[in-house]
Amino acid sequence: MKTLKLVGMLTLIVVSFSLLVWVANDVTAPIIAERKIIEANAAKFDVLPSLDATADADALDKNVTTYDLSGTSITELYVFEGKGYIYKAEFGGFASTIVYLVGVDTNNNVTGLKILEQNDSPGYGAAIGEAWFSEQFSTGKTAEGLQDGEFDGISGASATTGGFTGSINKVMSFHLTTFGGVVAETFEEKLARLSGELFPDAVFTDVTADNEASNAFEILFEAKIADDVVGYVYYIEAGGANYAAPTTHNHFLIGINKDGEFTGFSMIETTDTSGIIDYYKTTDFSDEFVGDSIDDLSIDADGGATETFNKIETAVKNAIVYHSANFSVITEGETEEQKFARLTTNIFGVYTDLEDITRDNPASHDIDKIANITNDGTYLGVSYFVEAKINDVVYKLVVGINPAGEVVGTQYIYEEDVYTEAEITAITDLVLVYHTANGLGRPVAPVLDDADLLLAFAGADHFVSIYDTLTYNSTIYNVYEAQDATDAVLGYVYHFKASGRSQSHIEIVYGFNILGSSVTIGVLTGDTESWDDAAFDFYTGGETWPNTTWLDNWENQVIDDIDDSQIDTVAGVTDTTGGVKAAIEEVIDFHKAEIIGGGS
Amino acid sequence: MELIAIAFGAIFVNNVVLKQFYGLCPFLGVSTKKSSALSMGMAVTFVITLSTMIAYAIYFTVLIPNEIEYLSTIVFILVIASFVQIVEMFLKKFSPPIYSALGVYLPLITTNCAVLGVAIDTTVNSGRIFNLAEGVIPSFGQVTIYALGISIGYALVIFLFSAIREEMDAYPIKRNWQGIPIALMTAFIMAMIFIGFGGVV
Amino acid sequence: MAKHEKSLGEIFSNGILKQNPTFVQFLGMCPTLAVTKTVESALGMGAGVIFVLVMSNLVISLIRKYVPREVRIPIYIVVIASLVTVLEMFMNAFVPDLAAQLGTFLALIVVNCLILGRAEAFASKNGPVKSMVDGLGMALGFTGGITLIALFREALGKGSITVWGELSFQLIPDNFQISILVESAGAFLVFAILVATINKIRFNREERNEVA
Repeated sequence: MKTLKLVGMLTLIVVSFSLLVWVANDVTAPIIAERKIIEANAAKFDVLPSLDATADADALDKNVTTYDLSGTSITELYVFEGKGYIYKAEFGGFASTIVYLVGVDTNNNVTGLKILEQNDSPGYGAAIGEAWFSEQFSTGKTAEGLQDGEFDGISGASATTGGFTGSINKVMSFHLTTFGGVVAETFEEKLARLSGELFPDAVFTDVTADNEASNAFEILFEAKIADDVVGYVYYIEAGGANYAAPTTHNHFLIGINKDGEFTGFSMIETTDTSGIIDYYKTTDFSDEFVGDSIDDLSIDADGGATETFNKIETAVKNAIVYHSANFSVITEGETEEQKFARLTTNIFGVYTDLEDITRDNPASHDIDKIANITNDGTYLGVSYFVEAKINDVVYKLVVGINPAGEVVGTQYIYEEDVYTEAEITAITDLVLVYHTANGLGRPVAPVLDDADLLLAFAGADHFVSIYDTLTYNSTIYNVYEAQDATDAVLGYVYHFKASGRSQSHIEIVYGFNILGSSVTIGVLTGDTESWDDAAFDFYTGGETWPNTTWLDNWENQVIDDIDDSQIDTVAGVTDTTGGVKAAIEEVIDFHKAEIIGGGS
Repeated sequence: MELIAIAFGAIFVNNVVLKQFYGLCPFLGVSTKKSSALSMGMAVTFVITLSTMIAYAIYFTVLIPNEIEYLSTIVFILVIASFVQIVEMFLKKFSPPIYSALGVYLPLITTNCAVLGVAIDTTVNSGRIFNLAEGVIPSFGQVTIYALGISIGYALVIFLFSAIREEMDAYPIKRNWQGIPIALMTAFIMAMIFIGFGGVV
Repeated sequence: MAKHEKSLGEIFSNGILKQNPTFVQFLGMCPTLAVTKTVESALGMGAGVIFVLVMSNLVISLIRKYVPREVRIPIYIVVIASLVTVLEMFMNAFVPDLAAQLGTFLALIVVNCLILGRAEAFASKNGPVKSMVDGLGMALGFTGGITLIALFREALGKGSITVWGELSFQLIPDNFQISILVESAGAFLVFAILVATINKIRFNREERNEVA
């Protein structure tokens, strides 16, 4: 009886307290479970605050894989019925892969963004991990806005900002077309729509295949209204700001009507940095084109975005060359000069600048005009405007000759003319005789002061230009013999150009002695972009371009050692150092071929 | 190698008394004589190691599969209490010499928080103790070595401590520092010394 | 049998001062040293002990007449362990950060000698109201004791006291803190000095009383 009471009491207590614990567990377990879910998925709750730990528990770790995410930079996708979507995406920043989460609700409003991983340089790309950057996405941003790059980038971190711009654009585009109720505009539809803005009411035909292959354009459309050709639309690819990323590009349309006037400019897609590219997307920029003749294009760069502008302008000019060669209706009243320029451009295939040198050369009955041809500072050769009388027949032709003395091509001055091959050869031979006899085919070599040349060869008494006796090379401005007081040759000094950053040119003087070693190097015009100075400071630990130990590497070296590329470029400033290195190697090859090999 | 690291960490670096503050009441109360400290240390080693093994088996084979791990505290304390009771009865009957040496300390062990603490740490908090990913069950070997290490650490410290206190009895100590305060002061100095083990593992 | 019946006030103050669990009885030493790194965790532990001790004293006092002597200890343990489990659940649900700070010591309230000690020494012999008052007094005495230790450790060791993440008092300028005090070892030191100081005060008073 006693035992029974003991066991009974014990059982009663255990059972009743188990019940108490069970009830307490019932009350608290869901709260604890919810808290644990929120803790484990804190980042997701941050970017989509409307999430509910209980209702959305299943969807929280269910990466939806049924969509094609290729090319979207999205790595994971979570769908919350009636609440929204969370995307995990990644892209290459300047120094690291950056992973982020972004949430979008069912009304295409962006609800939040969180950077999960980044390892970019402190003070530059790392700012992407700072709170202010993420916080701007918490309110007031829409998927459409982000698609168009409507957010504050990180100053001083163009590569990281550019990577993010591209990634968020793709993520939002995917969202809008997949879930956002926006019907995806195909590339063709987009081209058609924007082409329509350039030529209202026109019907477009893709005539790319019917035209010569050219790198002036990717796609070419013919615009017709009621069977009449009213113009052409060029779809063109151009580079962008280099420092954003080497692969930066801009794709755009230009329209040129049958009168040779622009009808507008329209950016199709860009991976350029937001801020830099903004102006070029506007109708203001397009309006700069409208009405301009292709022979007289006048557009201006947006301040601070000249590199992108230069790339776009060059690409447009190449299209102009193609257009004038193939479709130009010769307008009434085209002057002889305009005609000469147009036909020369056609011969050389790229946009050219003409420097008239007719008066600098002996008069000739057969040759009306002579011009030095350059493209963006690069010497291309000479163009002749010929009116030759051979066997009492007057032949009118434009002939282009390159610096090597070869005929590049010819163009009829009167379109209706047709000459035989023998006739054309006769004309070009005549031109070549004049060309050789008068030493044409190179620009007039600029002559430097002795003070500049002494930078490269301090031991010389005076310098004598000998470039006229050597083959022309477009890298080299001039070549001098360094002579002592008795006119004995001590060595040679090259005055040449190297390409720097942002399309700038660096002028360099560099001396070699007659024993086959380099002497000293001098930089006459520094790279004009201040970026380079700052970059050199940054990457070389306080050295200022052009006063760097890197330049000293080139001095007092045996030429063959230099040519074997034993001097490396400097990481971070490869544009400048690589440009200088390439130019020096070109000069050494020239020196070996012309001076050493030439039996000096 | 991993087990050696666990054992060293349990004995010295995370010493149960000086670092984790488990089992302080008997530490300060019992450890006035070397002989009794030694007996207590042995009894604790025996109980902690075996009860941890039992707790490990119950937790991972009964509580977790049935999703009643919230009952762990209740179950563990009952298991420990019963286990101590059984050991006491067993020793009394079959090994009177050992019983006479350890017997008096056994009831004290039930309320020694080191026993329950180690049982909970090796099961409920095993992720933190053994650095495991969520959902990974520690191996029986890890748990046993850890429990053994902890109890050896306990026995070691309590023995050293009693030796110091025996020596101290020979010296005059101010009245208000006698007993607990001077014992705490000694423990403070020992704990400082044990901080030095922190760099080893 | 004429027995002096203690008033509720006496029972209450008994726990707080005369029989203070921390500084006089030295009960519950493990949490005394382990959770006194910050005032916040000391207060949290104190609150937990108040809940468990008051409730366990109440329950044990209510069932004291029905509990057979032979199995009273297991029954007390079941009651206390259940209350601690319930406490753990609620703290994990509503104050998870504090629960994480206290860690295993939350569960170890089960073996806090203070709880079982009061059950055996007081609740099993007195009525529910008195038992609750005794529990409250003892638990408050314990809370006060550990909070006092925590005050010294946090104030001198960290230089400032922060409670609930909002209230914060800077007491010692940076670089002048005694950081050993917030290490494990420091707990022994602070506790030792406090006990010795309190002993000194007590003995001085006793001597004065004797002289008087």
